[in-house]
This record gives sequence, structure tokens and C-alpha cells, in this order.
Amino acid sequence: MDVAETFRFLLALALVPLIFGVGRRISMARARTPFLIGFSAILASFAAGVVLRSWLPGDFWVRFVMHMAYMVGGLGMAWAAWEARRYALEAQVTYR
Amino acid sequence: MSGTWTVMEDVLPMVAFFVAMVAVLMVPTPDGGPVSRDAKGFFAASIGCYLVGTTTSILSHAGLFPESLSPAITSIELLWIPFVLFGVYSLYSRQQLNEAHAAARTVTQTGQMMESILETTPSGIVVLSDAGHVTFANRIARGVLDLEDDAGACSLHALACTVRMGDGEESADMSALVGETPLQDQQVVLQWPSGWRRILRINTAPMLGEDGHVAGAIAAFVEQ
Repeated sequence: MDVAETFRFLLALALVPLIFGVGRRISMARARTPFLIGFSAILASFAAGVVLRSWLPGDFWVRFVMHMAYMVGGLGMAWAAWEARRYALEAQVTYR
Repeated sequence: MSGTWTVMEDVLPMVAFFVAMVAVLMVPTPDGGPVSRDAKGFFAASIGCYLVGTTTSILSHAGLFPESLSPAITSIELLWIPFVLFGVYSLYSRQQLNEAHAAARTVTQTGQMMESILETTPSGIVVLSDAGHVTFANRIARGVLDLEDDAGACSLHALACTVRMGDGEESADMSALVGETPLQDQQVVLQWPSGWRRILRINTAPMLGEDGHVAGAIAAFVEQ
């Protein structure tokens, strides 16, 4: 079993309750779903990385899933950031 | 085909994270806004970890990156997790701070409004402690009761006058006005040792302390 990949996956998994527990209290409701998608996709890519490095080195489909999950993770984060930007701009218009 | 796909599977995530980086950098962070500079910095750093990872992966496939540095890249990608955590926590802290500032602003505005009401009303209004001392008096009350101007600043004033209630009950101080039962339209005579007197029509409402006992009273009056 690849220690580094497993450690990264388990660390991310262990911090899920903390990140989502705090995130749920943030009032940017529209950014939550994209962040959830992005974070979950990156977690999935970590899991695929564990499988790829530990048991199926060089397997095309596992590598494919890992990279596509990375891509979805990046796009999810981009979407969440965009929603955060909208929220920040609306707050400026509303309160200033 | 296989080589092209090998490059593409690194390029696609890199493009996605590049878009994410641009989106994060476009988030405005004005003072008092919902997103702090710290949060923006942490999220940008978290995405930066992946940009480094995907870029080195492409360089590695092109034979331009030494495999021996691979563990270092894995370590950099590991930083994504704490950066995201710090970013989320910074957003939450800013939200808490903004809520506290908004509450403080509301309290200040309400206080200013109450002060304006107290100073413009034609009635005298005093706040009495449980011992009957005046802890606050508005402008009219200060004039009627001949209080010094600092009574408005919550100082304690024991009025040197006797208080005679409408039912004839007499008290050496204003404590007769402090009780559990509110007074409605009562005539009260204040008599100073010098012989100076004031006849007031007065309403009172008790103020309860945290333990539920009477901690004072608010009295509003007009001079007759």
C-alpha cells in the first residue's frame, strides 16, 4: 500500500466533518453545492490515487477516473469561487 | 494516441485548476466584505498546490522533471487539505466578525434613537435604582427636579426631598416610586427642605433584574 497516497486520502477524509461543519455555517448558500462537488471529486481522486499506486499501477481506467475527478474537482472549486465572487459583489451593492 | 491522451489527462485538470485560480483571484475583498484577504489567500494557495502538481506531472511525462522529486510534489499537494480548512475557517471568522459589527451598529443606532426620543419628549423621564436614587434623567426631568446636568450620564442622585404620594403616604426619598406594582397617573408632591415643591402626575414601570426581583423603576411625569 502506498503510504503517502493513503495518508493524504485519510487526512482529507478525517477533516471532512470539520470542513463541512464550519462550511455549513457560512451564509454563502449558492457556493456550498459547487464546493461539495469539487471537494468530493478531489477526495475521489485521492481514493483513485491510492488504488492506482497501491494495487493497480498503470491501470488506464483508474488513472482516467483519477484525472477526470481532478478536473471535476478543479471545476467545482472554480464554480464555488465564482459564486463567492457573486455573493461578495451583491453584498457590496446591497450594504454600501 | 496514447501519448496524446497521457498529456491531455494532465492538461484537463490543469486547465480546470487554472480557471479556479482565476475565479478565486477575481473575488473582491473589500474591508468589511464577506470574503477576507486571508480566506482568498488560503484558497488561492490550495489551488496553487494543484497547479504545481499538474504542471510537474506534464513536465514529468515530457521527461523534463526528475522522478526523484515526485515525493516532494505529493507533499505539496498534501498542503491542499489544510489550506482549504484555513480558507473555510477564515470565511467563517469574517462572517462572525461582520455579524458582531452589524449588531454593535444596531445597538448604537437604537441607543441614539432612544436618546433622541428621551431628550425631545415633553415629559420628564427618570430611571430610579432600587434605593430610589436617580441614575438617569432626561432634559425635562433635570429641569423639574433641579438636578445637575451630569444626571444624564447615569450618576447616582439622592434627591433631598420628601415624596408624598396621592394616598397621603410620605417617604424620605424616591424609593416610594420603586415597587412591583406600576403606578398610573398618580399625583405626587415633592417637597424640598427649603420649602420649594413640585406637584407631578406620574406613571412608573418596574425594572426587573436578572434574578427577577425589582431592580429599579422608570418614571415618566408631567408637572402640574
